[in-house]
Amino acid sequence: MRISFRNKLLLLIGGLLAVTLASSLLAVMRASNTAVESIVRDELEVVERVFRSLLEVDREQLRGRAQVLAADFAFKRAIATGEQATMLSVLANHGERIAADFVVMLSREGDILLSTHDVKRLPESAAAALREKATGGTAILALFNGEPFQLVLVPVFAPDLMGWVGLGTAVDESMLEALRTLTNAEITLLAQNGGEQARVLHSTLPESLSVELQVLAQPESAPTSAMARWVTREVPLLNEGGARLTALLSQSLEQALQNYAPLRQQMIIIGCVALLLAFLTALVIARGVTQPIYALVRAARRIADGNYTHRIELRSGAEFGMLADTLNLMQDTVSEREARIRYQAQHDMLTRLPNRNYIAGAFNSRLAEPNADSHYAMALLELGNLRELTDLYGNDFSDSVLQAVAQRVSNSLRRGDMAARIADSQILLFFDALAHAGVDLVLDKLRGDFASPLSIDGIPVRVEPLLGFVFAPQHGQGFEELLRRAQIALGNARNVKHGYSFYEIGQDENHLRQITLAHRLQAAVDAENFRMVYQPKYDMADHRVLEVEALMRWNDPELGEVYPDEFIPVAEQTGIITDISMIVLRLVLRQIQDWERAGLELTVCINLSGADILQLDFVRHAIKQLASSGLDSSAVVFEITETMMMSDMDLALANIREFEKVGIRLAIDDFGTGFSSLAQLKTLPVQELKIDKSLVLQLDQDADDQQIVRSTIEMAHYLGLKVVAEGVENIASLRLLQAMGCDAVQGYYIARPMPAPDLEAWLGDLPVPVLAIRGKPS
Amino acid sequence: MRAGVLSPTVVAVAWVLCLGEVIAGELQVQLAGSDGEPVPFAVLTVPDAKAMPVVAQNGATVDQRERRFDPLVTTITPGTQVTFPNSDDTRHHVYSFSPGNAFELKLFRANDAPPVAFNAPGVVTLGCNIHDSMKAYLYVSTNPSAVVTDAEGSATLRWEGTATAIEVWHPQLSAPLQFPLPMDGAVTLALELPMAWQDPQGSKSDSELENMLKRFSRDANQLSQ
Repeated sequence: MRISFRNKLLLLIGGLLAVTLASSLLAVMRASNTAVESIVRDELEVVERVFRSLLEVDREQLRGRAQVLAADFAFKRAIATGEQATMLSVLANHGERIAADFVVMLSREGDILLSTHDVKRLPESAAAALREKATGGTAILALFNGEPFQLVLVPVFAPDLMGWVGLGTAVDESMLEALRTLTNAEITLLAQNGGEQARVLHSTLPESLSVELQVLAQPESAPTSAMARWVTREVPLLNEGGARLTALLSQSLEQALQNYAPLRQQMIIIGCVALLLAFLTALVIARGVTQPIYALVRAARRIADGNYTHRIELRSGAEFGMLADTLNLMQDTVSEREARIRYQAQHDMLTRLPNRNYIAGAFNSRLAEPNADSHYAMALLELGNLRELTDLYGNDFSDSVLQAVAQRVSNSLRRGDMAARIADSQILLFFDALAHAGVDLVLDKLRGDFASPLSIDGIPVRVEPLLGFVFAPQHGQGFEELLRRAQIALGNARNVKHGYSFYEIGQDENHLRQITLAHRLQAAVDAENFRMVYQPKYDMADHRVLEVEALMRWNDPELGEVYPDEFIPVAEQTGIITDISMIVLRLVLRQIQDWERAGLELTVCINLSGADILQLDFVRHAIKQLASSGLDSSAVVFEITETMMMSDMDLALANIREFEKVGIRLAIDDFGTGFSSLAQLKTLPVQELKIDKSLVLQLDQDADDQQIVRSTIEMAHYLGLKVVAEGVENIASLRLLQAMGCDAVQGYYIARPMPAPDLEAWLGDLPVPVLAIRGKPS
Repeated sequence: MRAGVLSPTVVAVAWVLCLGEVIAGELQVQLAGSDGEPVPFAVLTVPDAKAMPVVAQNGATVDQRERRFDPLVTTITPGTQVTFPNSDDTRHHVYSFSPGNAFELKLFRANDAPPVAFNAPGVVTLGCNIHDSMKAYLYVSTNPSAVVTDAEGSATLRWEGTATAIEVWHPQLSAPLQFPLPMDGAVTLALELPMAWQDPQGSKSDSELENMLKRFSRDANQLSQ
């Protein structure tokens, strides 16, 4: 989810402030709690001192009163009487006078003589004071029968020590109340005797709370919730012989915290107001930021759409103004760069001519014009001697030549014409409204352009422009089609002396068929989509068929029946011929095996391409195949043409010798068409020579042919070669060949090539013309 | 500072020597406290001393001077009339609650108080109800040997009859102490008491409070008239 900047800002500022406020409030509360607790603890410490001091002061007052009593002469006199009744009454009287709860009279030695309470013995602290005969007496806190008393013992002197008088006041609620009034702290008095549980003696607290508080006096007791709100200080007052008196001073935290409640409220109010203000501020800031941002976003979108004309004007702060200026600058730069890139994309950087893409676009838009002339022409210009110039002077030089040529061509263009560099050395010229009839004018002008030599780096250069013309609409419509046909025309121009050529209808189709053929041929090889037909060779000596020539048939599903005359050159060009030859070899070997099984003994002649012979791999493969077929090496004869072997005669010779080694016979095919020398023929390990049918077809009518054929046969025989004539189509030619001593004949007069089953039938029932030959032996 | 510690120079004179027992004697006793200082106002007696014919005592005097009884300790025979003169310009209220000898002499000035007779033997503790710090003792005894040590802590005991021990009484002792009498015919005896001498009547000078009262009061006498 994308959160808008405004909301983010609101969240951020509000959140930060809220967190800050909350934490400071928390901190203040914690601090105040801690402070209050600490203050209360400190207060309780003070309370303890006050409490102790109060007890002390109380005791001292009591001591004072006791001392006054002990110094009273009448009291002394009464005591001195030693009469119990007198002593009792005087003690009671004086005790009441000073509001004592406890009165005791002791002998000089400290034995208890008279007491208001059942006291067996005095606390040790008091006893010690008696032993020391402390003239000031002693003032202590003591427990009598589990009740706390402020006890004062003072000596009675008359003037020597006569005895001790003790006065005590109970430490009770009224005293605790007085302290509470003074200190605002609650006091609980706990007494504990030995291992007993502490028991509450007096408390200013309600009973329920004081009971809970007393738990605090127990060690290892967890504070209850009620007590958590109280701060308690334990003040040990007395610990004598297992009897313990403890005061618990406690103050309510809640009550103490009451003072901080207004502060907390004020903080919350301040926090709310601050949050509101922050919220408003964030809104204003966000508005101030988002508005120019939106304006800039709109501008950026315009630029993205390619609209570079709009200027961005902002009345916001310096930063956004700077961004707007930058955006303006950017759109200027982008626009400029785009123009440059477009120019580069459409032009050739060397010649500054438009490139192929550009001229294609321009061509199409030219055609799209409603009133455009339907006639126009395109010419592909190439410099015939550019390669030589490059070889001679280098690439930079030829670049300069191209530049100069482009310059010249551009200058001679008419209005509406175009020139573009579409390949390294090719410039395409577009001539608007030019028909075939007007081409001479253009040619003259171009020739004029290149009549004078160019001067490149001071070197005079004569260029030889080659031009291939196409004319629309008769030569095509689309740019690519016309360009392709112009290429064909240019190709033709290379082979003519005057250096230009016009496309002729159909050229492109041939070209295209060859391309298609190459494609289909590959598919046919992959699918082995070939079948073999066999044409008999009639042996003139034996008067029967000893050999047949294996010929390929290819019936392509798209192209229909294709003849070897057409597809073999294509196969040789593309190099697929060897694959085809292997297929043929395999098919023929299988056929021979079939015939052998059927008892038919035939030697099959297989045509090999010169390319096959030049590959040792193929040669070895063929030998291996023959060997593995189990057939005799005389079962096949490889017919080879001389032309393809010419490129590397030594290699061809070496490979042919491989065949010779294993006893495979070889025949020279199409003899008489090439330029093979007789010397070569001598070195070739061939056994047979096939006279090309071009010399045989009209043999009966052409005396020259007869002369050539006769001498060829003679020569071949002289070399020990068997001679076969192809293309025998009539009896006259046959007779002539028979007369010339030709060893075997092959041709339509004997039999057309036919599939294996037909051949078998044909052999079993030889037709009349063949039988006729036998009938007239030479 | 006192002029050094008095060396216990004791002079003893054999009064009567009987075979084996001291049947009559004179012994100079030197008392010292635990701090080595002499102990005055101790009463020395030979408890076994034969009662001699009581020497008629014309009376004794315990003076009041500068808010002190003087002397602190007086030995008297029973029945002796003791006069309490007042040498001070204030009144005194002399009293005693001692059993058998209790008395009060209220607020007299000058020597207008009649003497008091003390008949019961024992120690009479004297006090002044006006001045708590004043204290004195009358040692009422029939024993003729009773003597009080002087400021140097020394006294000469004389007795008749057989005696084996010396008894020492002092206000600061909670009970009288007895010491064996030297049988070797020594005429001096130095004894150490388990106490240190302290004047029970405190400073002779006026209390500061009283001085202030004297200075700023117009005429205190008017209060009593």
